[in-house]
Amino acid sequence: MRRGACALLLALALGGCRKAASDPCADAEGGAPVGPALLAFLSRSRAAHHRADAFEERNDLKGTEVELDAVIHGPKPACPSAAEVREVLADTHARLGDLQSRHGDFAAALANVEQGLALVPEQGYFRGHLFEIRGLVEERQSKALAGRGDIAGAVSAEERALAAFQEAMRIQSEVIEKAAPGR
Amino acid sequence: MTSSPPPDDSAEPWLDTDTETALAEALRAAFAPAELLPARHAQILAAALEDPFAAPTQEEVRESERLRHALESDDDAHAGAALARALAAAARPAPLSEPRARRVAERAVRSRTNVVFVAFGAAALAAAAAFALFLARPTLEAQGDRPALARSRSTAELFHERFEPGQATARIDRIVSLRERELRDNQYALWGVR
Repeated sequence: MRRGACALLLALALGGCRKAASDPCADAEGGAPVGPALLAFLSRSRAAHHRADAFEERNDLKGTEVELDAVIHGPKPACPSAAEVREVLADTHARLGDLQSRHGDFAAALANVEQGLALVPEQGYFRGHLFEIRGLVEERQSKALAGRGDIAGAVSAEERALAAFQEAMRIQSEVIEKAAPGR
Repeated sequence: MTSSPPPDDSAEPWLDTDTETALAEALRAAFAPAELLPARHAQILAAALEDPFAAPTQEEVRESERLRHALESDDDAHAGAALARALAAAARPAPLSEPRARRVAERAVRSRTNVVFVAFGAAALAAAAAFALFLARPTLEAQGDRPALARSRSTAELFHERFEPGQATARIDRIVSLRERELRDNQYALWGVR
């Protein structure tokens, strides 16, 4: 047993402070208390984004991707569904998508956007931002296709870009309304 | 928890002096525990738990289920359930019946060096009971005034402006900065110094 008899004793003496059947990550009034594991994840992610900045300034795409991938594939806290964890991961996917599309890797960029959207189903800033990035990716793809003479492909990508931008605007309008109703 | 019938003490062995002294000390501590310093309590918790906020493991879930069943079914074969009953007996001992009190007195008179009756049957169990009561005391006292802890939640409240591409690092800087403060507040609250 990971914590041994001492933990059993504590669980007994403290009157069962943990309910085995409940999921502290999914508590409606907020998740588990902010603890060291969550902070360790956030701190590690922050460090990775700063390292990614340094690589990006040197125009080192590969180095930047490695740093951001380390956030996505690195260790997660015991509550991987905690809101902060999902939002930071979603934002990292968005950054990766933006970066990859600027370097012409549209398929990888769109895959990152999709993975980010799956993490934040709530109608919030992060989801809206991912649609905005999807719009940017499609817009860049449209220009790239047009440059290669693929006009039909370019028009199609442009339509997808417009739809994504529209969805981003719709979500962010809702967010603004919620933050300041009646304005 | 249901109360068990009193044990048949006639077959209990007498204790040697050292064991008897240790048991008496443990019983006294369990019945009237001394104040535990919050800092010491936090140290004990930190030593016992790798991560107080970690989700329970499968093994812990199974073990808690076994303990619950043992507590509900009066099963003393489970060490945790036996300990819980020992704790209850130490903190709120049942009154001694007259015939049993007489038997205890007679045995004590026969052997003057042994004046403490073995109430739990095992000194280790009593010591463990005392230890558990020591640990529980600050928490039980705090139940009426449990500190409010900052909880994991969406970070959307931190962002009232449009997300700009290329500002992901600035966003995570802001998230970490706030959650660091909250973790520090949580730790102080758990230590009882807020």
